[in-house]
Amino acid sequence: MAPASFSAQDKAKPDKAADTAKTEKPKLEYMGSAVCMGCHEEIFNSFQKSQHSIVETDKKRGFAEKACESCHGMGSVHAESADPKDIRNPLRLPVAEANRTCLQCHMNQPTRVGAVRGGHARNQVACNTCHTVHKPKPAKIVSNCRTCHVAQVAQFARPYRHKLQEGGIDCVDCHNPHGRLLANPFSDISANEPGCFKCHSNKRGPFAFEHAPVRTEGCSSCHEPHGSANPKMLTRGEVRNLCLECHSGLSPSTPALGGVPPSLHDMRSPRYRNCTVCHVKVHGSHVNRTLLR
Amino acid sequence: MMKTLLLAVAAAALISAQDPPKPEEKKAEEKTAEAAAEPAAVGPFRADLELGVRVNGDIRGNFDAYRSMVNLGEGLRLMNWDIGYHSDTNKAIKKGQFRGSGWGGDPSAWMSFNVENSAYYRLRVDHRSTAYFNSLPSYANPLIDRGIFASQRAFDTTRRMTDIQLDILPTNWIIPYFGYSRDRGFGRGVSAFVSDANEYPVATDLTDHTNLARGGVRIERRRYHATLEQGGLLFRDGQSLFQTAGRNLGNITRPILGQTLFLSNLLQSYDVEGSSLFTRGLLTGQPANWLDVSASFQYSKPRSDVSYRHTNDGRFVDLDSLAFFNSQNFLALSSANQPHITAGAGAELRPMSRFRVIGSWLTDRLHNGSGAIGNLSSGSSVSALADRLVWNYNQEQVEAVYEVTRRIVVRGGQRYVWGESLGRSGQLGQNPQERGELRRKSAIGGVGYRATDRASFNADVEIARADKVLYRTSMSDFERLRMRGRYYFSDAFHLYGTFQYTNNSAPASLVPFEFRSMQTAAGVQWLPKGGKTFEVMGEYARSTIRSDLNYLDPDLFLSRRSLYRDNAHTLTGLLTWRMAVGWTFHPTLTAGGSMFLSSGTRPTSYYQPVTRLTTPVTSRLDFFGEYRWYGVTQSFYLYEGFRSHQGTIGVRIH
Repeated sequence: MAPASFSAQDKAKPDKAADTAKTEKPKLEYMGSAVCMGCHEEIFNSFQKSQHSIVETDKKRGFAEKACESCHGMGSVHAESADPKDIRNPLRLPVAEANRTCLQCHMNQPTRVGAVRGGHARNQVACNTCHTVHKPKPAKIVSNCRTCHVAQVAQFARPYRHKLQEGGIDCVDCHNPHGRLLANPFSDISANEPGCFKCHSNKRGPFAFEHAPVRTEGCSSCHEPHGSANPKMLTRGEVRNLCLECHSGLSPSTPALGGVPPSLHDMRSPRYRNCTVCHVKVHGSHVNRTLLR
Repeated sequence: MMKTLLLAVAAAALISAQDPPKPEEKKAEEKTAEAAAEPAAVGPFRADLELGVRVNGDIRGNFDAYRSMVNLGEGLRLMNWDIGYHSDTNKAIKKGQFRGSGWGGDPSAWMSFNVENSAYYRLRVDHRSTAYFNSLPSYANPLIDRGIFASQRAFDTTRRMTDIQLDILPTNWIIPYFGYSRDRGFGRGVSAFVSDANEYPVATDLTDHTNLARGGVRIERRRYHATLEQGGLLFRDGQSLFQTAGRNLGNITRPILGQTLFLSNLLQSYDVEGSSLFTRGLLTGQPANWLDVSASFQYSKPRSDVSYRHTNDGRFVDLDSLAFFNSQNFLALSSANQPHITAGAGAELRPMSRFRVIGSWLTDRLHNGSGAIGNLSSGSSVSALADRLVWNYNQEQVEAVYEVTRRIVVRGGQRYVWGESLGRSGQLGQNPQERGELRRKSAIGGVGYRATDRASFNADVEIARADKVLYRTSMSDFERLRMRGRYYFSDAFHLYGTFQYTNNSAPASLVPFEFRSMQTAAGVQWLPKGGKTFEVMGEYARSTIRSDLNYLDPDLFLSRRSLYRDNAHTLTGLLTWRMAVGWTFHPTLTAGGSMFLSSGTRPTSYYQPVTRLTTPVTSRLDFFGEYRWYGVTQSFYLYEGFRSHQGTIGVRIH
């Protein structure tokens, strides 16, 4: 199975082909990984411990014993010249072309079906920006993410946060870096339920009386999931502000959801300033339509 | 039991991996600490284990706040381990890895166990245990003004999750796979029992568990790949609130119509049983060299059946009738069904080698139908209520991507999202249900630049305008800009940075709403001479958030202003110095940590410095000592501040 993009890559170097003819360089053909190992022994040994070593032994993919050339293309010219320009290096290819090399095999994974449309691909982040093709997976994914998402990683230095620094979670526990069908970059569980419910399964419901924004806007409409200076990782300093910013839609002319609480809510009293004192089932209730129990 | 097992497994592997240094190996021992940091490999095994004892110094300030934020305890800890196995001759297991961190009592602990012979199978098992403690009097505590700091919403719970994934014949064209997940939460806490005119903080027991099983098949042909998956889950959620003795005055201690309200006895219990069946189908294909297509279909149908009851004794009042009573019995049954469909399709068209058009469409449709029967409000007789939530979301997007050169790519397109929601209206609503709509169009664009393989830059922008949004705070008319870049000046010096800006305002039909957020961050990694002696990592982030929106004061119907500001500086740094001093082995000093300073609505400072000294003793044994300090101050909430010192000493065997 020769990836289709290889032929395109080879065609992209007509001058190289002409040079080859003039200097009677060897014909482009597969050499096998053993030849590659002669010069790149360290990479080869590391590769043997990686997931990709499967290509070396797997007849299905058509690159048994020539796994290196499954991504780097035929290596006979390079083997002869030892010139880096004579070998295909996905690190130096245009991102879309480099990604297509990977997606030949990897497009099918459930987490990667949105890869082409995902934010990373659209922003020219190649697969090999994060993935070390020749090495085993890193223990912690966050080390890959932080150089681009440095502002997000910095949020985990706030007092109320998910335990990323402590090793309790990793970026990919909540995010699908390969893209998703929906616009937001979260992961899913149970087909299409929000990934937050993987750990917060007691918020899963379904509830007889749902709090609609949990379903329609998602958890991040009230919570700052990376980290916050506010307790419960809320997006506002006080609970009443968070609630009443939406629950002020009194006028029929304001086409927004969120009714006004009854006037018994005396905001001068600390009881009413902390809405969740009474509305304890703020994520949804099974038995009370005002989410009191 | 688990700790003992872990220690036994780790010790067994280490014993097999360890080999005492011999005299002829002395030359090999004269390595730098960097080289010594590589896990030892003996035979097919390699192992690396870190064991330590932590001692907490004087924790000053609010201990509950310390536990809510840090929660690191004292004692023996298996801090990290990594045991690897690789064999070309073993037919059953060609590769294996067993690693983990934080066992022995730390709040965040995990382990993973992977084995495979890729010709036949690949098995992954992950397990993690997370302790969650939260007790902050500044949150939902109406008595804080009276100087009572006992939090009325406190939790001390543990969550344990196990995930197992088995791929069979992973090198085949058809790959069956199975997965199983178990998730269990349990613990105790404090929550509020809400009566008509008063709330009573009482003890709560929490327990829930979920069992999820799924199986499917991946089909991988040359031109197309497909995945079909079917799964199901069962969950139970039991929560109870209870008080068995005493006189709980709740949050209202003053008499109402001459009578003092109190709770003397309570048993409130939930019994939630739920299930969900889900199906997933994915298809990606390349019918022609110039065309990629993908389609997906995901369906889930969670449902729940609930039995609820509570019995409370004391003195209570029904505010509607102003009738006082001494006891109540509530019984309620409810059920909810929530079919949820997500489907999408997309294509990438490549009419020219440098030009691509990517289009996609998706729909996400959720419908919650529910009913409840029983005493559904205070003082009511048996009644029935039905409820409904409908959420239909649609999105289409088209984008053209053009490679100007092999290094510069520009893109531009549009996204249109629309949908509708139907839900229960508020108590003052004119109709039992209220309907919201979403209609938003965005122009999207971006540029990617790879100057060399050492430098890259990308930027993307989205400018959106909405006719209708669901909520007053929804993303509506917004501009969003993101820029990221990084540059490797040399192999030793790496600089990276980001800038993000979001400006959101409500459409003209809603009340004025302004939200603005800006984040600027930069980082540097410096590894002179390949990091053999020094390694420096530093990051600085500056973020500002400003939200300004009026809301309606419910009791007076006056307009109030909700202004939220957060101006934050975050500094993170780590210096590693591999000292060329001492005897054969060179100690390593690591110092750094993070600092968070913010002003605005909730001014906060949070310091987390750390320093660590590692001293190799033999080629496979290091001693280490670590010191950490945590300090939080919130100037408006001084009672939630704390400072703590922690020291850890231990060994690393590798």
